[in-house]
Amino acid sequence: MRNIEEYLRPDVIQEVARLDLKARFIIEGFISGLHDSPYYGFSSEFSEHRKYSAGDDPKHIDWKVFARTDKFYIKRFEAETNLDCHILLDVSESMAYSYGGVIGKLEYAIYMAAALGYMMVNQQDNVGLITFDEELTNVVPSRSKRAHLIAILGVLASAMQHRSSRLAHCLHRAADLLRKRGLVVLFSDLIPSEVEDQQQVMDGLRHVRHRGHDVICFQLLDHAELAFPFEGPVRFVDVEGSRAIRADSEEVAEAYREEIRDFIERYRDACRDAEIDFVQVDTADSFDRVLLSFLRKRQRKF
Amino acid sequence: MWPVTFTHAWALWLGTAAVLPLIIHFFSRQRPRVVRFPGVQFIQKSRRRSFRRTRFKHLLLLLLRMSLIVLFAFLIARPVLRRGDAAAEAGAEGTPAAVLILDDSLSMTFRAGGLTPFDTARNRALELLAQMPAGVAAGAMSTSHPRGKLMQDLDALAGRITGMRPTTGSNSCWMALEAAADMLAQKGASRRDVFLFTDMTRSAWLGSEYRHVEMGPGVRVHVVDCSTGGVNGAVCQLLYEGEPAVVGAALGLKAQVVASGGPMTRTVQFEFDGRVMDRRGVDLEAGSRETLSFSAVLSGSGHHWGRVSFLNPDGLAHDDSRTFTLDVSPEVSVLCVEDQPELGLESVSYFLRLALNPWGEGGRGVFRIERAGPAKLDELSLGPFDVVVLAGAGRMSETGWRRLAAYVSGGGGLLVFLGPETGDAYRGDGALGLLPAQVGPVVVAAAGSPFGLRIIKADHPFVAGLTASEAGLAGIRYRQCRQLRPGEDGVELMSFGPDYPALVVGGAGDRVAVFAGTADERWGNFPSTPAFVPFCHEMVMYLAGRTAAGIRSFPVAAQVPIMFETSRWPTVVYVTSPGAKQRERLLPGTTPGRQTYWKTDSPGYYRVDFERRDAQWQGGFAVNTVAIESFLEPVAFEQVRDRIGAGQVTLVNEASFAEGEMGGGGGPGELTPYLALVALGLLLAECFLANRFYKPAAAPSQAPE
Repeated sequence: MRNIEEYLRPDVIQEVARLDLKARFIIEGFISGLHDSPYYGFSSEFSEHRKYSAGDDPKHIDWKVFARTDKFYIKRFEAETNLDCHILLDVSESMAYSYGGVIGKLEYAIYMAAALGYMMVNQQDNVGLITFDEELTNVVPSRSKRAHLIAILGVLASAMQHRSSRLAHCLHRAADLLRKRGLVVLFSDLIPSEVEDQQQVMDGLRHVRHRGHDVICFQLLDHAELAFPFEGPVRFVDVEGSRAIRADSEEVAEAYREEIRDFIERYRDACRDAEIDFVQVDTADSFDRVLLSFLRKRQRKF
Repeated sequence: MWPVTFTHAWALWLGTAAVLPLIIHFFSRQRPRVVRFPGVQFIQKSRRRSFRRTRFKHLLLLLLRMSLIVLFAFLIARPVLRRGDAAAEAGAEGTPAAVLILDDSLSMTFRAGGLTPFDTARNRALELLAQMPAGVAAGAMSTSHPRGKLMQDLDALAGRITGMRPTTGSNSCWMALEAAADMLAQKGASRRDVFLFTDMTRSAWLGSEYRHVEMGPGVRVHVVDCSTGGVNGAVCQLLYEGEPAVVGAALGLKAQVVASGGPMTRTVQFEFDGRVMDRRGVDLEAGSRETLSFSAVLSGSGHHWGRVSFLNPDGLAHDDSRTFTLDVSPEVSVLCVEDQPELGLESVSYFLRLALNPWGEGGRGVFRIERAGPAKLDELSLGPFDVVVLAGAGRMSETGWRRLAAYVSGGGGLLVFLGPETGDAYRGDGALGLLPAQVGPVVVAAAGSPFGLRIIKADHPFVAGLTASEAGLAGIRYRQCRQLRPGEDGVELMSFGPDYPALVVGGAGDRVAVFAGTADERWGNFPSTPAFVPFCHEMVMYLAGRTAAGIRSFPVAAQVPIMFETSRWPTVVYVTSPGAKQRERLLPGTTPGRQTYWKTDSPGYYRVDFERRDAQWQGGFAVNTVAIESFLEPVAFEQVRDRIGAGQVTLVNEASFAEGEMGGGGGPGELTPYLALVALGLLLAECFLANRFYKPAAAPSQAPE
């Protein structure tokens, strides 16, 4: 039997068939990995005591217990229900791309979205889901009921689309749609379509941010998109548009890597200016990197 | 201007291979695989950015590689740069030209000590080539093969000279000089030299009394004397004497031996059919010659060979022996028909028999004679006889004439001596149909003016043979003769006077001859004169279809015809060369014709074996050196110099090609080493750049943060 923490690895989580179980295993593996860490306990409702260990915030020490037992105990709290979390998921065709990897970008994003939804619902937080490609394809309002999680997982399970993306357009639409302030988590490769450019995508992100939301932007890229492992003459065909180009891989590899690095850096700089958390994720990475980024953001909020 | 010439100009065509990199590029282009990829826009930008840099790299490498190929083509072509005056000379291609001629005749193989004149000539020619600077257009030829072309590859030329071998033939230098003049005339060179390496013997300059060769005013001829000196003896000539080569005849042979270069003492040996027949000692002064006579009895018919040679050979062994072959015919059988064959001294045929076979017995001499009366012709078988002689036979019957006609038509010969008895019997139908002339009445010469015998048709083979025997006809006198009227096929060869033919031949294949006089002395003195013997010999031999064969030999290097009878079976010819242990089969193995050829390259006796399914027989031929090659006395250089029209003709002992005489300014310069350095640099640059340009870029192990 596998250790629960192993389910944080994309190749291992594939062994689980059901999406709800995948979400649960990811979260439980993540929680197990966070044991005795300062990130545990992000709710205000008391749950139990545990022994103090070095690195714990002293503000959580239960002084009454100390008075009685002369030992340090930390108070643990359960989740609160005052957070609205909206997951924006890019389901365009470019997100389905995978080159020799274990899972594609969309698959990776779905698992993450499911896991976050599972975690939020368990903490009594409201969680909603918006999927989009050229347009918003599914909008699930934020709720905290357990039955609501089933609806979110159902949308995620059938999220795959075969259309190109209009990222900026969809971000503007989502910003208009999400009235109540909360946390917006975006899963996308952030690659603009032929009709848009990077600046327009950033404008969309800023629009969401200006509506008062805290935004975490996960840019999911396949390992091949980063490392460009191709060799010899290749005819590259755009997965979304009609673009096709013939190139000698070795000739353009170095320049491509520079281009993609600049592309990511531009997003990173723009997000920093807009106070948006930007996390670039390689689909070969384990899920805890994403979840940790989310926790950092939530901890700052509360 | 510094013109550049190429040693191997043809190699410049290899420069067209410079297009190979382009062809290889187009033919080896890989078909791209198709990959669906989200970041095509980034690739598009990347390619735009790297295109100029990549194109520059590719073009640079392509140019380097094409330049390398062109450079290698230049290297193979071996460019030569001319500088200074030679280059500036107007109208001249500027390259000095030289032709080296090696005398490779037999006399050049004379070995007095260590080296032969030919070895010396070859060594000096190679030394001369080594002296020549690169770029000189030079050619080499031998006097036996006066052909060649100018080339600048002196190494190849040295290889050609090293490969030259002396021949056993006789070659004079005149043709080689003419060929050299042609070669130099075609090349517009700044300097023209001819180096002739020879031993200056008579054979090398044969015909110097009347020959003249025009080399041109700008040509310098250097005659390099390579003679080594020494005494040479030779058997330079064999002469056949005596009777025709028929079984029983005596072979008379005269061998001429000569000494050149000094006095000589030798033992001369005569062999016949491999058996030593005689030995003689000779003692000759320098330049003198002596004739030795040898003899042998030709005891058997068929092919024979002989040799006259020195027992102690000298430095030129090839001319120390001389071989010959001889085909001996079987004896000629003669039937003498006369009215009274039983008579002895008084018989009509006495002088005839005395002329043909003085011993009067068979097995001796060339002719075997049998006698018979005319009546015997009706019953006697004429097949065994080569010739039938009617010696005044007056009792001829018609049956006898018919049998004689059948005999003649079958290849037999008939000689008719007329006389007083030969009257009506020679005017019948049988005689008229057979004889080439109609026999008329007896004609009596005027008193005091007898008939003399004169030759009418000197070019007839019989008359030619008779004349060659130096038989004198002046004293022949006839008081009477028969009147002859030549028929349509009759040819009058000799005459007693106007309208009195003496000898008429004709009939089937000229096999019948009629003499208008008697075979004895009743009408004239001819039978008792010395001319009667050669007359009878030549006539009988002619009618018998025999020729008076002599010894035969061929000059060395001749193509010798080998004759044989045809058959429905193929004949395989084997030739055993002198000194060879194994016989050699003539290709293609079976010879369909009657004749084939053999190229001789060394003197001596060549045995030829013929093999057919139904028969085997033997033949052969003799090959001898040309006599003039045996005379080693040098020719006066002045005599030769006057016969060569050239700017300068000098006799030297050592050939030299001094660079200072090449037209000044340093002469040609070899560019190959410099080009090789450039090629090496280009090659290194290509390796360095290819390694740098195509070094696979290491893929980042981690994604950019």
